[in-house]
Amino acid sequence: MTQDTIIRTQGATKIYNPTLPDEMVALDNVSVTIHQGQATVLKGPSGSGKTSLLSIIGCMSRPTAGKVIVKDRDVAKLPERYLTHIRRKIFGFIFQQFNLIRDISVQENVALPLYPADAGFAEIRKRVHTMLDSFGILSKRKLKVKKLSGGEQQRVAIARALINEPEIIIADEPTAHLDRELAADLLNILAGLVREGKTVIIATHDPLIFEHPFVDSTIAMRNGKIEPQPEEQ
Amino acid sequence: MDGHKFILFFNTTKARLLNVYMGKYKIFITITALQLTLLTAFLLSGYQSAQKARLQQLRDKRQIVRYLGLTDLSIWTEARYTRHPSQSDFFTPFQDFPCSLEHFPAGSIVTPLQPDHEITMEQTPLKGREK
Amino acid sequence: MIRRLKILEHALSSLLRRKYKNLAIIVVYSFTIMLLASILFLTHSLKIEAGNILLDAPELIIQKTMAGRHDLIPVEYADVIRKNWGIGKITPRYWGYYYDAFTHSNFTVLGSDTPLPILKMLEGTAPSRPGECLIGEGVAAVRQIGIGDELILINSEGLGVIFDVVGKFTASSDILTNDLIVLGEADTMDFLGFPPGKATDITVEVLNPKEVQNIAGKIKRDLPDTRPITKQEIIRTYDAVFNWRSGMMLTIFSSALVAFCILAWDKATGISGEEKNEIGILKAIGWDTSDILELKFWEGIVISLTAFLTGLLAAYVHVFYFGATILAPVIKGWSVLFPPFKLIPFVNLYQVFIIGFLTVVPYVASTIIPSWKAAITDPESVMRG
Ligand SMILES: Nc1ncnc2c1ncn2[C@@H]1O[C@H](COP(=O)(O)OP(=O)(O)O)[C@@H](O)[C@H]1O
Ligand SMILES: [Mg+2]
Repeated sequence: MTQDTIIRTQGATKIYNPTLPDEMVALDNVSVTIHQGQATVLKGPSGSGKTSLLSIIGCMSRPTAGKVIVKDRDVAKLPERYLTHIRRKIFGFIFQQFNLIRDISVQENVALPLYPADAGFAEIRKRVHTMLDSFGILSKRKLKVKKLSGGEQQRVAIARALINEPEIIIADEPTAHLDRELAADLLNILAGLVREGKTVIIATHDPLIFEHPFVDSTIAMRNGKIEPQPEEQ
Repeated sequence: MDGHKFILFFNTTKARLLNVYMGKYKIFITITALQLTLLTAFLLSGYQSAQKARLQQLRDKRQIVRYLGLTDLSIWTEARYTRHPSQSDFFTPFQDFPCSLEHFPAGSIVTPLQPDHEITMEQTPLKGREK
Repeated sequence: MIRRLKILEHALSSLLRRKYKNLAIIVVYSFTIMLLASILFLTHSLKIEAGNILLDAPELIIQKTMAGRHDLIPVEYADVIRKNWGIGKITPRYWGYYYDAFTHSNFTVLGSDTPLPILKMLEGTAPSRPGECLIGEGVAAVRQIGIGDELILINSEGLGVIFDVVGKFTASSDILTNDLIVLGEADTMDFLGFPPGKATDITVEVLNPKEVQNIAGKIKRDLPDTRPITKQEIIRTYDAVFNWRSGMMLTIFSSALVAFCILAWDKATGISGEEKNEIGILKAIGWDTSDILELKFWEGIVISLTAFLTGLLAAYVHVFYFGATILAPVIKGWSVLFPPFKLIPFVNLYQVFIIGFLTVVPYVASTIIPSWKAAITDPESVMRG
């Protein structure tokens, strides 16, 4: 089994409010490797820098120093427009709080990532329907998001993350607001995505996730640094 | 019963209109296009009737003006200076500049017109020293 | 193109979320634009009309002044005027005002012996015999009389005088004739009590229009107690009058505009945390800064363009179909006789563009600019709730 590297960071450092009194080193010289088609878990206590790492990996922000290589390309210094393009083409995000637009319909929420892309209206409609159908919420497509239950909202959020057929799915504490049952549902969905060949990166401190069998590797973080992993040797 | 049906119909229609999925832009564009068309129609027909009026109405009105020697529009009849602004007095009290508008508060804001012909001091013979 | 439509689609969805608020904004904005456009339509149309019909006003009018006021002019001044070169007909005019105590209105009494040509705007004829009169629509209306009826007026000696109405100007000429009572010249002199040998003023026909200034100057020198008024001055006076009237109304209604701007500014400057978060979400799922700004652009366009077109259409209908009924009380002042506006739709396209520019651009700007900062910041913040 070949394990292609899809994302690599080299000495990535993220400092918030540099040179100000409330300067905060969120990532300190972090070098990690993420393999294609695997489920990688970032674990660590709150404030250890998981979200910061996901955000520079997912091209949501740039590292203060160091390299972030996504598919053989250093994105650390790319201009904003390219980052947006990469986000749109390569990544799907599942946020801790669903980050849906609550007052518009389910189908529009799911369609939003396709608006700036090339797809026409007919194609968008078709893809959104297929996607909603596969999550069993097609019948709710015209409802406003705020009318849905938590579990349904979770599925809308996942549908939106997948609509642009991303290679890499990034999930930040996806089970934090879910009960056991919904969390298990979500993990099944994520496991299914890995089986389809997608790369999944999850940040969490929920043992339910990193003890789950579909997880291929675990990276532990503390105070913005990677902790050495006994089982990786 | 009927009222109930109507409310039902109203609600479903409203829901349909507001929930048109990926078609709201069509409604907006249609409305805007309609408004523009209407406006163009108004302006064009207005232009046409203005042209026609120029030939008919205005010609008639000009005849009236010519035959009766009229100088002003009969819009404001409250005073001489509104009924015949072009014929107003030269030097009525408190109106100390030729051609100024004698209408409160216009007089204090609007610059008076420059009269076309004013006698200058040099042109004015002095009393008892006429040549 | 399709991309623009998609962003427009989301802009509409966004606006529909606060549909009552946005609808209210459109209504208020449309109304403001309607008032502004009505004022400009109305005054522009009147100005053009005045400029057109007064082209046939007398080239030169000579008034006499006395003690700094307008005074009756001796008819023999005509002989002095006639000595100048290039002068055609010289006509003394007899006219004045009549306050009608029955109806509390002012009429203009005008003496004329010239038979009028056949006009669509004239029913009946001009007076051809003593005791006959021709009246304007406004006089007919307040006095509730028509052709064949009698018009009783009180003369300068306090005696009632009966005139037979033989002609009436129709409403379409109201703007010129509304308050007119045309009598024969002799009747006018008698009725208003002109002393013999005096007229109200004298009109002078000038053969070469280029000479008007020159001749006016000469007359002023020959007859120092007179005041010549040229046609050019009359026309310019009307320009000034309508500019002033429109300016006055614009001042009044611009307070409405200012109020609206404050509202728009208030709405726009403080974009809520919710809106910021939404912009972050859109960026996170692959929208570019320019897409976000385009979204805001469309939101502004949808509101302001709709309001602009609605307001303009309403103004057009209001001014040219309903005679500017909303503005009438403001323009009317306190006069009793006031012609209904049957305006010829002279529209200045340049003015329309100016209104459009002044309403759409600031509104769109006030929607885009406050979102600017949120649109250019990294979307990272949405990952941290
Ligand atoms: N915008 C910011 N400004 C200052 N400090 C920040 C900012 N965002 C995060 N931090 C700090 O960076 C550290 C790492 O945060 P984060 O990456 O969110 O950790 P985790 O996701 O593991 O909880 C925390 O101490 C947090 O307070
Ligand atoms: Mg976090």
